[in-house]
Amino acid sequence: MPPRAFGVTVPADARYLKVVRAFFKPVLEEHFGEESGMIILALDESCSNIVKHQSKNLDDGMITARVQVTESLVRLRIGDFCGQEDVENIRPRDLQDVRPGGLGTHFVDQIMDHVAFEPEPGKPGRLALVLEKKIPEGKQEDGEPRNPR
Amino acid sequence: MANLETHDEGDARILAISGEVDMDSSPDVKDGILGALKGASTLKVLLKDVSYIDSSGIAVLIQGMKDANRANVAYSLLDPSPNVKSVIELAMLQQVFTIEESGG
Repeated sequence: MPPRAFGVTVPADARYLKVVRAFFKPVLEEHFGEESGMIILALDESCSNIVKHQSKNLDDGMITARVQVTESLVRLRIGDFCGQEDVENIRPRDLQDVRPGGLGTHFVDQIMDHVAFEPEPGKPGRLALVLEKKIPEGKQEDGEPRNPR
Repeated sequence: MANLETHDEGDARILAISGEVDMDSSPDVKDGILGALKGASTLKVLLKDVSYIDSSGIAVLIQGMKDANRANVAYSLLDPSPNVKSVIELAMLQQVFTIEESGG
């Protein structure tokens, strides 16, 4: 099966986070079933982080999120996520310290199989966030058409 | 979008939250909890109809617990939906919150 890839661009505004969640929900449900809720949470936390820090991070005030589905994994890419200099400050907090805030990075790390940054083409010093999750074996594509008639 | 409704049952005040609690709606939930704490001796935050919660929503529930402790109000989470339970467990807060299941 060829990879499927598509995405959405929305204003970096908390009111649009629900749009991003709803946009990716069908493809994530298709491949992860009940577990899709957690992957949507990881995506949402990443986009929320952009909204929170947008004055420092974004030059166009927009969030672009894309999904790529291969035979064995789903790859989510959140564009223009942060600057190279911000990476070392993005880390989960100590969960023993019970206080509001700082949980989002922990959620992303716990939920996804692989979290990485990659250079943002055409934007020197800017990085995209890449989140990958393996598709469970029973739900991987087998090349057979769905709903054959 | 989250909806909030408050009512009293005996000595307890119930704050029922429904819908999605995210970065957009969590400030309203925070205000709702603060308002519900006023004049209450017990506050139960009913979460059975919360379909989605993110870290900002969990942060608001933690802040509510801290505010309740300061005000000597008994604070608990009532009937969290499966989604809310999963996120509380992901945050390893299941031993931190008082969680009640009504069984109803």
